Amino acid sequence: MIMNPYIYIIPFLLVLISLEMLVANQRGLKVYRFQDTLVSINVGVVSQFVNTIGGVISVTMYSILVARYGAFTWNESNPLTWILGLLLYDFCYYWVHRAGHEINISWAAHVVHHSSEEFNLSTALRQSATGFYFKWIFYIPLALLGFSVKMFIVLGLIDLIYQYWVHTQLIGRLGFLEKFLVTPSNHRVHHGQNDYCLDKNYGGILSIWDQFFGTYADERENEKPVYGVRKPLRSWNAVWGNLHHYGVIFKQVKEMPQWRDKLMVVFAPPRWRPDSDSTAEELFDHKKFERFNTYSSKLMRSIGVITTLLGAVLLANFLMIQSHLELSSRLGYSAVMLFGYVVVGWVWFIPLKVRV
Amino acid sequence: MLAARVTLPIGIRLSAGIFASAAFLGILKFSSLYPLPSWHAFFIMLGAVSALPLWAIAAFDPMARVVGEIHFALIFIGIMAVLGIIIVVFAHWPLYADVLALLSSCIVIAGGMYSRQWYKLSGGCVLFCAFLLFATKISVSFLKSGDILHLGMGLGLWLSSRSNID
Repeated sequence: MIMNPYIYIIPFLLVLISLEMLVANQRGLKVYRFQDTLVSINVGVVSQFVNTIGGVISVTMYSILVARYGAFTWNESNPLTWILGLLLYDFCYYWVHRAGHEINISWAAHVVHHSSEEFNLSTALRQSATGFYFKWIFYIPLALLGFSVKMFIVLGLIDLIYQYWVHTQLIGRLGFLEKFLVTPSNHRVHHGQNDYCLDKNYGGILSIWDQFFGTYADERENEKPVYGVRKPLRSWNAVWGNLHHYGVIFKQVKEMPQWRDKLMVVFAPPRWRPDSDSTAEELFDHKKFERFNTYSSKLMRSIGVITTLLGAVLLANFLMIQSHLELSSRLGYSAVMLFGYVVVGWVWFIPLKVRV
Repeated sequence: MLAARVTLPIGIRLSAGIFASAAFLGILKFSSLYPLPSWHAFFIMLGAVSALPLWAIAAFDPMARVVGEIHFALIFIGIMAVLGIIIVVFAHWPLYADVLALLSSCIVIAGGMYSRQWYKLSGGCVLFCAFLLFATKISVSFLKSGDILHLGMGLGLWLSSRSNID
C-alpha cells in the first residue's frame, strides 16, 4: 500500500504548533487566536482533500511532459543531482509564487493562505485548494531537463516542508542568513499588508531570487508587519476562504462594460483599477487595521474543536486508503467532507462582530 | 537578432526568442552537433501555439497590451502554451498547431491590409503558404515540406517584422 507522506508529516506539524503555543505563552506573547487557528487547520484539511485529485493532475501532466520532452537522464544516487534539482525547483517556485501574487486569477487561488490575520505555524497549514490548475506550468523547465516524477514530488515536498518553520513570530532576524535564505523575518514581511510588504519576498527556500529580481524587502523594526489581506475575508468558513476571491473577480468582470477591462480584471495584478489604469493601491494605514473577530461561546468552541479533530481523523483515514479507492470514490469522499466544512463554517462562526 | 533588440516591443522579442530557440535547436539537431530532438519538437510546438499568435497580434495591433507589456505577454504565452500542450500532447491532436499557425498568418495578412503595409502583407502571405504546404506535406521540386517551412518562416517573419524595425 502506497502511503501518502502527509500521514507521517501532519502529526509532527501539529506537535510543533503545540510547542509554539507553549513557548509563546511562556514569553507572554499572544500569537494564536482560537478561531483563526482552527480555520487554518480546517483550510489545510480541505486543501488535502482537494489536492489528492489536483495533485494527481499535476503529477500526471508532469510525467507526460518528462516522458515526451525530457532531454537528460539524471543519476539520482548522486547528491549533486538533488542539489541542482532543488535549486531549479526553488527557482521555478519563486515564479509560481510571484504569479500567485501578481495575476488576479492566480491570487484568487493563493489569497486563502494570506487571509489569516495572525502569523504562526498554523498559518503554514492554511494552504490553497485551487492552485493545482496553474502551478504545474511553471515546472515545465524541470520536465524538459528530464528530472523524474519521483524527484519532482520529493523536491516539491522538501520545498514545502522547509517553508513551515518560517511561519512564526518567535524567531527574530538571523543575520547574514536573511540575504540568501527564506527566514521567519523576511517571510513575515511577505505576509504583511503594510505598503513596504506588498508583493515582496516570494522565495520558497532561497531569498536570492528576490534579491536578484528586485522583490526583496527587510522587516522593519519601527513598522512591524500587519498580517492579512487588504480585502479581508471576514469569514471563518474554510471552503469559502478558498473561493471568495473568485467571487470578487466574477462580480468585477460582470461590472466592467468593456471586454478589455474584463480581461484586465482577470489577468492584471489584483490592485488594478480601470479608472486609474494602474496598480496604485489606496493609502493603507497599518495602525488603523482591525482584525476580524466574532464571539464564540464555550459550546461553540467545543464543537469547533471536535469537528476539527474529526476532520483531521477522517483526513488521516482518507490518506491511508486513497490509493485503494476508485477516482469516483475519492471524489465522493472529498465532496462529503467539503460539504461538511461548508456547514460547520457557516453554522458555528456566524459573524457577530466584537472588537478585539 | 529581433529577440535582442530592446527597442522592439516585448511581445515581438519573446516570440522571436522562441523562434530563435527552435531554430538553434534545429541546427544542433540537423548538424548532429548536440542533438536535442525532444527540445526541438517542444519549441516548434511552442512556437506554433504561442509565439506565432503573439506575433500575429503584434502585426495586427502593435499597441495591444499583450505586445507592449511583459506581464501580459508572458501570461499570453503561458496560457497559449498550456492550451497547446493540453491539446497537442495530452489530447493527441497535433493538427491544432497547424491550424493555429495558419490562423496566425491570416491575422498577419489582415494586419498588413489594415495598416496598408506591404511588408507585413507579403510576410503574412509567405507564412501562410509555408504553413499550408507544410501541413499538407507538399514538396516543391527538390524542396521538402520541412525545407519550405523553414525557408518560408525565415522570409515571412523577416518581412512581417520590417515595419517594426524601420
